[in-house]
Amino acid sequence: MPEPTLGSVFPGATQTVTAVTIPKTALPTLTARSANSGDQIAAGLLLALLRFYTPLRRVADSEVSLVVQELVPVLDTFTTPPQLVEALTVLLFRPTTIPELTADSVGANAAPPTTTPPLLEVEVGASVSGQEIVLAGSFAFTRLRFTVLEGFLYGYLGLFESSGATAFDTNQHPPFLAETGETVIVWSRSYSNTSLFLTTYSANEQGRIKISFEG
Amino acid sequence: MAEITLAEIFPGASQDSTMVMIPKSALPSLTALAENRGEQLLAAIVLRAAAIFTVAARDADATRSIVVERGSTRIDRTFDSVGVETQWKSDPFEFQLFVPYTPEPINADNY
Repeated sequence: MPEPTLGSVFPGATQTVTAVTIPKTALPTLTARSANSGDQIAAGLLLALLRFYTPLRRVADSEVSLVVQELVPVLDTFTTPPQLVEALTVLLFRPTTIPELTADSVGANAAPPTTTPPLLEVEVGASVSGQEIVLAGSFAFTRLRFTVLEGFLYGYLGLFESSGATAFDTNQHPPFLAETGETVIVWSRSYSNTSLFLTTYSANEQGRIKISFEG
Repeated sequence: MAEITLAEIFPGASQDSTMVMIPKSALPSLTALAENRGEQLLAAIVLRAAAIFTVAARDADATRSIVVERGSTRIDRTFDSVGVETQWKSDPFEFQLFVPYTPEPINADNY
């Protein structure tokens, strides 16, 4: 069945690219004046929807995207003056696809079992290319500490994910110390059972460095 | 406080004794076309009403006669005559219209 048009809801209504014009005769129970209040016009629009978009209309034609339901009025005698509260619910329907239920999806909202390691240390030699650092388990890091244990490092270090994406690059986050000592970088990241690959940019490195991931 | 005007609900709107003109620019999320579908326009009018007739607005001004509250999105499913299922999301907007009420004295003869 074709979708209801504006004119079928508000008889006599017209539209252009910039505006909609609705005759006041299409607004049920409204006494037309040259300047009706905004509330009156809004109520008239709503009553027109109530009369047209009945639940039965959508039962008969699922192409209809609106339903207006009238609820039982409530008397509010606690206010002065007392008021009658008429309630209407407008439902806007749109097609969707409900994800298939799978066992794995149940509990997916729960936070992943993350452990914060007190200290996960990986010791690597300098002048490395693609040295794999295996991170077993799930960890949430907030700091990354580079320590030169022996020798010196004149170049930069890069840590890369298996996809090739840069996890951390001291070339982009200077400074990186060159002498024996340590540099602490604030670096918030979470990894779960993954590997990072360490590469130095220069063959001049001599010594050993230690990388610590700290929670 | 003065009652809300049509132009306060739909900026740029105007009226005379026979009609109401609402500019499409006052209708949120609507892509204006020469022939918008009726339900596009109506959904946009509902969205605009929900943005204007808030609980906070009525709390601040008791002359306001309408309040709209948006409920939680629901999931629904329908089946056609041959059992084909369609899944829907529905967004409820509850309109409350406040009408002055004069209590009637209780008359024994009515019982």
